[in-house]
Amino acid sequence: MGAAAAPAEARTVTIDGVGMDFAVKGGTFTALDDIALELPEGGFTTLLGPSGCGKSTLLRIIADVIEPTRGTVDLFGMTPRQARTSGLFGFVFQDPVLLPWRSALGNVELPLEAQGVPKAERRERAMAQLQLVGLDGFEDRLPAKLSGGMARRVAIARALVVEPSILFLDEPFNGLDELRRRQMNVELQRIWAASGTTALLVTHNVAEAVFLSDTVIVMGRNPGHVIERRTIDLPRPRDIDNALSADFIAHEQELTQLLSGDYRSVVDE
Amino acid sequence: MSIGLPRIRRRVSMPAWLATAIVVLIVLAIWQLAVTVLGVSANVLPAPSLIAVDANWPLVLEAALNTTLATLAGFAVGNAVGLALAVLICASRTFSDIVYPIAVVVRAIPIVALAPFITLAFGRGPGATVVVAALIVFFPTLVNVILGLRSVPGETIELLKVMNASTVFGYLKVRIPFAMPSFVSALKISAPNAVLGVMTAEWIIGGTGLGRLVVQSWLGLDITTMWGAVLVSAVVASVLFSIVSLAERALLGWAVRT
Repeated sequence: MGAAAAPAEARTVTIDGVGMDFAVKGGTFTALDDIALELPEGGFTTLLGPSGCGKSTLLRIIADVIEPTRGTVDLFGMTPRQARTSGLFGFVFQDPVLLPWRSALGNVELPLEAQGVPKAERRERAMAQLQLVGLDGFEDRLPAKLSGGMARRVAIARALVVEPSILFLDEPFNGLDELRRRQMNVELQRIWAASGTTALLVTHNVAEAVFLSDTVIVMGRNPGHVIERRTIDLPRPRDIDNALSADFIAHEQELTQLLSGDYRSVVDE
Repeated sequence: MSIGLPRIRRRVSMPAWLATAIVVLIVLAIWQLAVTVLGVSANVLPAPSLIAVDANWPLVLEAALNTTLATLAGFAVGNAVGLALAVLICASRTFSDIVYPIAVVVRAIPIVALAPFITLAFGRGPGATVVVAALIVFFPTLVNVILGLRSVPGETIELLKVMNASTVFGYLKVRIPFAMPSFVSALKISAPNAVLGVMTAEWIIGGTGLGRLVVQSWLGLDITTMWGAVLVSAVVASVLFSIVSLAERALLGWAVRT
């Protein structure tokens, strides 16, 4: 359980006693209850769980998009609001949410524009980021002229261009076919390693969680809670062939079992 | 087409303006023919050829110029006010609660009923005409732009928050551009409406435009000039509509549905 004895200087993301209630017709619905987590800086952590377990809600609480009903979140000694307003966040959504009238480059420049970065620097940093995600040569394309995978790359570049301390990924490859998803996982691993940022991914895809993560937090429903924290100690960089190794499959099976335990308990109710 | 991929047929289409011109010519020809064959009195519906020869064109064109200027002014003012109110209504709950009901009430009063008041307030000159046109124009714009501003996807709003973007940045760079297609739709509705507003105002209030000329020539039994004014007002409305459509294609290529 928990993180290993860390040096006193270690910077972490600490979530303590976080709960979230939503008002619904005839009472309240508890989406999350008593969540306690510690995420190490620079790691890749995944919140894995079925739909309705509150994983996206938890992600949004940490990113200060919504406020929790209970509990505290500490990001390297800052509140979520302080971290967000200091420009430490990059967020990739389920849809690429690109502005359709802006080119790929213009979309990646957007967060820098919001921060008031001068035009020349903006352009340079956005171009570098597009290059990192493998899109140089496509910078002038409008989103309508990008494939699904390319649009996701632009969204990742836009999240990383501010050099965030935390990269939030909310099911970023939703809607891609399985093969494209695996390719994007390989790409994401490379991009994340190059950026050196702390990553927090939300997914319901077990293989994706195992492939990308140092740590997987398995979550269950009713109310949303943490079932288990797993360390994925597979060597990096991982490639698609690793996903066929015995170790990889063992991790997949164990996580799947934990998840189906949750499904069963819900069905039994 | 027996084997292989179906051939994509490229439709060879004529330019839109040419199609329009042909349709207009056909309508005029039918009109001409019908009037001649059926022996319709020239005091009711003169043939196009007679209108062309007999109408007092200098008078019509001068009136058309005045109407056009008033229309453009009313169109600009009404849409600017509609756009600005829509942004403020979306940005502030309080502002919305105060202003939206007023806007609805103003819109609900028939413009004809307001005309006397507008004359008292703005005189009988072009000012009153512009105000009437603006009043007709602003409401569809207001409603459409509010709709557009609210159609911004939820994740895009969250993106603005995560980026720590200021409210002004959010409106200027994201929300208002998202509302532009709705705004342009409103402009297309309001272009002919602005002409209608101006001519109605000229009819009721007076002035020097086409609306007034229609009444005057009608009362003076100068039916060809009356019809000349009617046709030119149609041209003014169509041209304005076409300009908006051209602007739409130039500015909103990203949003044009194919």
